Amino acid sequence: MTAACAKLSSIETLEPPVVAEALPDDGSTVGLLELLLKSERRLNLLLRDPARQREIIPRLLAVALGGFAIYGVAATVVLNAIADKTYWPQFVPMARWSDASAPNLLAAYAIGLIAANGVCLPSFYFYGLLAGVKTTLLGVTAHAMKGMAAGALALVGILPIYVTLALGVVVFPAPRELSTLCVALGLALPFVAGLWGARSLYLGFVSLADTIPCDQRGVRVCFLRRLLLAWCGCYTFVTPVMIYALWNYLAK
Amino acid sequence: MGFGTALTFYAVIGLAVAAADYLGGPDAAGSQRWFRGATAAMFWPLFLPVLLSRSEGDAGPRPPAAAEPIDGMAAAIAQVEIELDAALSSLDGWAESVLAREKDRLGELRGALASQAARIREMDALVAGFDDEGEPALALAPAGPSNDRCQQSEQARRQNLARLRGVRRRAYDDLMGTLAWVRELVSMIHLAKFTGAPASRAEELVAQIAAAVEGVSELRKEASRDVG
Repeated sequence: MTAACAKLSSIETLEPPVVAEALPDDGSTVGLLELLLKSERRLNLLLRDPARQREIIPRLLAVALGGFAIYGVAATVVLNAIADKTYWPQFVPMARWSDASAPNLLAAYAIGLIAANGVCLPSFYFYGLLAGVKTTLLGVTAHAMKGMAAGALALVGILPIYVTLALGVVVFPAPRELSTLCVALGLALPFVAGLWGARSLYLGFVSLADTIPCDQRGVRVCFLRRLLLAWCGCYTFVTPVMIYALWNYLAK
Repeated sequence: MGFGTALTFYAVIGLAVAAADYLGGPDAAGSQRWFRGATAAMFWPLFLPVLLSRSEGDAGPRPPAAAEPIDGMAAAIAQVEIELDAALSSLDGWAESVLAREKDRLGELRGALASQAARIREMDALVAGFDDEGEPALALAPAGPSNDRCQQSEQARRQNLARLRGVRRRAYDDLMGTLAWVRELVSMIHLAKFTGAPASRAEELVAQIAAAVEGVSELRKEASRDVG
């Protein structure tokens, strides 16, 4: 008995091999959504393959457009519910649901957010080259789209919270200042959600640092991080200008 | 140029990009193709890299690669490649980051093994060609100093042939050694996966397999130094 116990205790405890949870990778947009939500690391690995980049970019664009469209509809409804026939928030172009200006907000945000990404894309590519990352314009586009899609998903996620707050302002009598603040918060919501997109873009692009030669990696990774932050800052400045310009143009 | 004019130019370029994407894009359902076309027209700066990379990748039909002779070396290399593919595909979900990192070097390894085998076949053909020539016609050489020079050249020629055979034998032994080493590492990957080794162990093994390409390149440098 003692010998049998000794023999049992000497058997090495083996840990089961780590097997990653099987995630859908069937090339569909739903599969892509799951990867964005559950395993960005795996999506970053998929985005290293140029063939997958060509396939994934339009899908990421569809996810982003869908998210911004949902936001546009919700924001238009909230804006019109808060405003009335006599009051329209100052400096906010027209987007009344009773006339032809109804789709203005939706179009301005959906097109403006994506167009700003297109405007800033060449600088993103050059920043990557400056940092010594081995990438192509296609790869840079894929990562930028991934960041935008992640931001759109985050926007859809926090939208119900905002709509709940706005409903409180609509239902209960609130001072005009609070109503204006609620409208301003709604219009700024994509930029709040964009922080999540910026985080996704940062993590995805920094993961490409292993393409930098070993002897230069230490210094260049710091430089890469600063360049990424600079690019996010540039995008943050370009986007509201683009959205406001488009919205004003559509409101004429 | 006003905003309207810029918008017109933008729209024209967008339509061109959308048409190019529609004609050259992947086969998809009708609604997907229309959505792709509409987004390509509106957001063509994002689709331009996709179009340009597609045109680089599909640069016309490539000429078929010259058929490699099926000999013992080709069979051994094919077997090792099959085993390597099986081991690397089993890493999916366990150590996939190292696969992405070492993808290029693993591809280089396959190429290096094939080119090493091709070098050995060339040397075989050369050596066989020299052996078929038979003895030189020394008997026809005139007597005197010229005959001595002929004999010296002939001796040097035989020495060079012997060295070539030595180089060939060494290259063959090293190729077989590399193939055996890769097979050993492949078996260690399988063992590591099923004995609960951490993912870092698999990464280390894959990196060693990828590093075998440097060993093959080093052998070629050594061979050229020996000849020199």
